[in-house]
Amino acid sequence: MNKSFFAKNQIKYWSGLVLVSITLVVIAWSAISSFHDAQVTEIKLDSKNHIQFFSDIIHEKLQDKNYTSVETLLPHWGEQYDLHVAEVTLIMANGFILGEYHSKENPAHKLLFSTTIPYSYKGSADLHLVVDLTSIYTRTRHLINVFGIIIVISTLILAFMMWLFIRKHSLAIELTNRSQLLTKAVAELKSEISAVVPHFKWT
Amino acid sequence: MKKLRCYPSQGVSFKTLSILFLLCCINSPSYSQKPLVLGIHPYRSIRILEKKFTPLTAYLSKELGQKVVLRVGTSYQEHIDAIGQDQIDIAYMGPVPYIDLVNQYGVKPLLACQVTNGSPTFEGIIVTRKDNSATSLAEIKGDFSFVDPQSTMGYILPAYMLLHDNPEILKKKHYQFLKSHENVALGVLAGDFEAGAVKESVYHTYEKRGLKQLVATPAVAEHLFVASSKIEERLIPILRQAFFKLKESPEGQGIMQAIKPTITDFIPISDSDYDSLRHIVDELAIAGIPE
Repeated sequence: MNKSFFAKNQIKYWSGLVLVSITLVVIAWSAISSFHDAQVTEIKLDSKNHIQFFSDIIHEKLQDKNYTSVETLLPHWGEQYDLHVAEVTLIMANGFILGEYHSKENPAHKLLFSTTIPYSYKGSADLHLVVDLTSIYTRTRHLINVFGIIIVISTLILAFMMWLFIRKHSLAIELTNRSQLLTKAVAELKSEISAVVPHFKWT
Repeated sequence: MKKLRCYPSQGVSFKTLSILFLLCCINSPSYSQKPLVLGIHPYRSIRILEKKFTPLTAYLSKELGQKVVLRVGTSYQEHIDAIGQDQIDIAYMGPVPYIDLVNQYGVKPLLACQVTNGSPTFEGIIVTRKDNSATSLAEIKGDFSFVDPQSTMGYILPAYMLLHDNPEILKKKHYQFLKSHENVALGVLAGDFEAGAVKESVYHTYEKRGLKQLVATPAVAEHLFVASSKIEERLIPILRQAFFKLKESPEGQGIMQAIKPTITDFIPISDSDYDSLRHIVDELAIAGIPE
């Protein structure tokens, strides 16, 4: 086998490995990204449902002028529900904050939802909900780490296997080339000896 | 040799059980008489009221040697009728319901009047928002919020003041009842009402959120405990003494503060202490208030 031919193929093999790794990264990235998007979409949907549900309750209570129950409802909403509520604020038309809830942590990643609640003939209030996405981002980061480690390890294993394969092949080629050279040298020696000693008998 | 075992016969067992039962009955605290009923007007939720008044019922049971149980009326009028018709034995009453009681059923034995922060009288506050430039009741042009038609601080006294200083609000019915003092404060802060009438403690709670005192109502005698006309006469002085000595012990102070954290004492009271309020109620009645 031609050595230069194999050297050219080696580049192909390593390029193939790089391509496989890139493909794995792309697949992992798109899987994580769609998982992340699905989680965010789910939280968006949940938050929209929550804000709709609570704005209906608040509307009813404001219509009845039952301000105290609205005041106590918002912290209850923030504390009791599984939705990751970072902030809930109900701001009346004159700027007065009737009720609010703030979680202890200040979220790095958040989504803001707002709705206006009209009541009676002239009243209105703005309900703001801030949802904490930190847990989703943490989960995504964890997935990135796990997939990253898997990809790196599998690339290293593939690279090692490829290195073994290439080494084996290059050794085989080297061996073939050397044995060819040896055979050639033997033939040359034979012809030289035959020239010097015509009747030399090979045993 | 067989061991002898002794099994009690059925008769012995019954006898033993009977003796044990009797012993239990003797040893457990029991009140031979029918329990006395302490009635409360429904000014808060039943659970809160039970929490507030259970220590008092336990204390009175101990002092009287007779069980006292708690009942909460479903309305102010039911409460007035219950004590007026002697269906309950002791009643906790606000000043206006007390006047209504006397008007409808006559004077009942008075037990004690509560003293809050050292004063046997209390006053309400007419509030508006801090950004409102009004400085008197006459300057109020918007809607007014009251607590309840039976509330002394939340309706009777502020209505009396409006009758003199801004009768248009009452005439044109530019007001609403919001059921609680806290609702009135929040309704004013939310801008749905220009002014409202609340008790002092609620005003102080919401003052830092933007509430301003416009004017204070006249001071009137505090809440009181009255007894039924049918209660055993010997119990009345015991009940009065039980209330009067509450301040003397930490346990008694705890009982008072459970009812209301600002109660510092219970003192004797007479029907004439409510005359000033009675005059106000009469004047309002002439004006057709409450309807």
